[in-house]
Amino acid sequence: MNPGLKLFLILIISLEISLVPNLGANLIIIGACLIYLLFKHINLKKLFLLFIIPLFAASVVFITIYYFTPSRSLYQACVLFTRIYAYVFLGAAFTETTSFLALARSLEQNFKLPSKFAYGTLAAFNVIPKIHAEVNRIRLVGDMRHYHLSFYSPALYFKAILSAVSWSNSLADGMISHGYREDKERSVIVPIALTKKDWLIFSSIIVLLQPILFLLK
Amino acid sequence: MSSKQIKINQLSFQYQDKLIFKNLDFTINQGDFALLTGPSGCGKSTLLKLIAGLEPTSTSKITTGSLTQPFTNWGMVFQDPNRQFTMATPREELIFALENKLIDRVTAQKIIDEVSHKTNISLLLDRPFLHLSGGEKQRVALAVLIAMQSDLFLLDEPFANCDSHNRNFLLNCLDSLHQDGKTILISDHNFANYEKIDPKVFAIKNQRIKTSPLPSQEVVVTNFSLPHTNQESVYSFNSFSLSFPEKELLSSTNLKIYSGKATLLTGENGSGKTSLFKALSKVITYQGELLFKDKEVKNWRRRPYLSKVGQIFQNPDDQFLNVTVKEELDFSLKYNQNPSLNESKLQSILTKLNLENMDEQVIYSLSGGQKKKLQILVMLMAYPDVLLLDEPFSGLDQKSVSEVIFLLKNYFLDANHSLIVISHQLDQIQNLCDYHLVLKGQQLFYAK
Repeated sequence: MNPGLKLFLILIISLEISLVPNLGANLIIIGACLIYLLFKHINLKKLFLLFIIPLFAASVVFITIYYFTPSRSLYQACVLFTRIYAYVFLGAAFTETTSFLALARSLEQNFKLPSKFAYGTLAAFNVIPKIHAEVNRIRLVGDMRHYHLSFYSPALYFKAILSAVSWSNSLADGMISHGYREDKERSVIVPIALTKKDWLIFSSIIVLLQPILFLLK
Repeated sequence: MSSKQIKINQLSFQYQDKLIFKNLDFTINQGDFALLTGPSGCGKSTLLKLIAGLEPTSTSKITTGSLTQPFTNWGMVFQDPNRQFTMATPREELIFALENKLIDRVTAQKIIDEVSHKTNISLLLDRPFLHLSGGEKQRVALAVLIAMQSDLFLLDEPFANCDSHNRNFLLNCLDSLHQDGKTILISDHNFANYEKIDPKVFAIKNQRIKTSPLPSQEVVVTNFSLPHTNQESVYSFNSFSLSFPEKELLSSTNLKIYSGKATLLTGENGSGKTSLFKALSKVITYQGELLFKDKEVKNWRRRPYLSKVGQIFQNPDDQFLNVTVKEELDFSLKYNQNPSLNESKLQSILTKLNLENMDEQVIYSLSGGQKKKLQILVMLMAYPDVLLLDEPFSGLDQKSVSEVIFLLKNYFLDANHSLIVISHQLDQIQNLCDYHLVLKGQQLFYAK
């Protein structure tokens, strides 16, 4: 499916479930995402992490609603518990099947997002692994200079932010030196299709979601 | 077609409150091949950025004079190969650049094939930049500029991380671009192999610029002795090997690195020199046995090990933990382990290295060469048993190189302190190194 349209679909679904508390709808969404992810051959370890990592946050919400609110509603507690999982699975259904580059291209080509946003964000996204490597290297340098930086050291993050700032200047220079100009027209070498089929899937899912959200009890 | 001219007329330029150029006056004609020379920190990078239009920024300004640069289709290769790509792979970067130039899909494919063949990057196109060596990245950087069909090529020490093979390869590429009528402006410290191009040479010195003849480059012939095997060793490799999932870097190796000596490590770009350093600093794992002081490196705990094995990184920014020069030096003094470097000694060294009176300057605003010298100084104060130096001379002029060698010999090397040096710049290396290790065809061996 077209990456940009997929993003809007995920955003609309997330917004709707945050406004309408419906346990059945949440479970159906989680189930649908799970089937989609399995269909797309998600790595089983990642799938396992998708269940484990939100567990803490979801449990905290559940306990708070069930034990510490006047109504002590089991239904409400379950709605919020599953809502967190629904967000996580919706997010995963998007990120696991879409590259950031394809999304940036789609937003630029299909949805007329100004290229400076599309490519600016993409460039920043591509810096993330470099920043990660940078944090590891900063800790290495600390040890080599007889000053241990633990993962909670402010000094570690201060230096990481400094390098991020200097990266941001280089990114801008790098883009300009490779011919990029703000507000200038660009050609399309890797076209991202936005087909009738994409719109059909998009609108079918939206239409299908409404009775589930508003009628299912 | 009328000929274009880059005209710099009585230009003065300052960065923060510091005057960088005073009344610069020169012209570069379309089709020129111009070589910018000058000591580290004289402003070569700044001048290139001015011509590119990347300077002045909010912290710098042109105080007098003017600069006319009529080329709209320019491209630049930066000194730090990591900082010029915004995409994740060479192919994506090429596509990004070609889209900026409004090239259509079919032509783009043709151009990508052509330039990747020309710059020998066909096999690198889909590898992430994170996994490419410095020299490989510089080939990609040049490929992007050629693909963009730039008329003006601005190159800021593009060969600083290249071996001689890669350097000659890229110089030949530039020569043929020059023959095709492109205008090329390059800064470099190494003048080898420029004779046949016969560039216009501009020397920057004391805030001024003047034309000069091409400085002569001595041909470097190294002649090292082979080590006696009965010396005390600091590292022992026994059936040691290194590999990446997609590539073997080093096959089974048995040798020793000797204590109290400086060992030069050379090899082509991408042969695995930096990866070997990563194994020595416990960043990546290896196969076989690697003993440091008779104990397996894997069995050393990280912190005590890294207090004995330090590294000078290729990119100086990686070495610093503070913001200003003074903070960095104070930090080093606080954890100083080097008995021969006290505060007063430090002051005289700073003067010798032209780093005095820079206390409040932000480290990231120093020039490449100044950063490099400061970086070496802080690691001398950390005083590990073994210091790994990854391209310590890149971006340094000959005078600075000899100053750095002087420091390493006088304030570091002794019976218990050893150096392993990766360097492509061999001019003065014999004044520093005792032995020469070569990494070639997945083999590591001592050579003359």
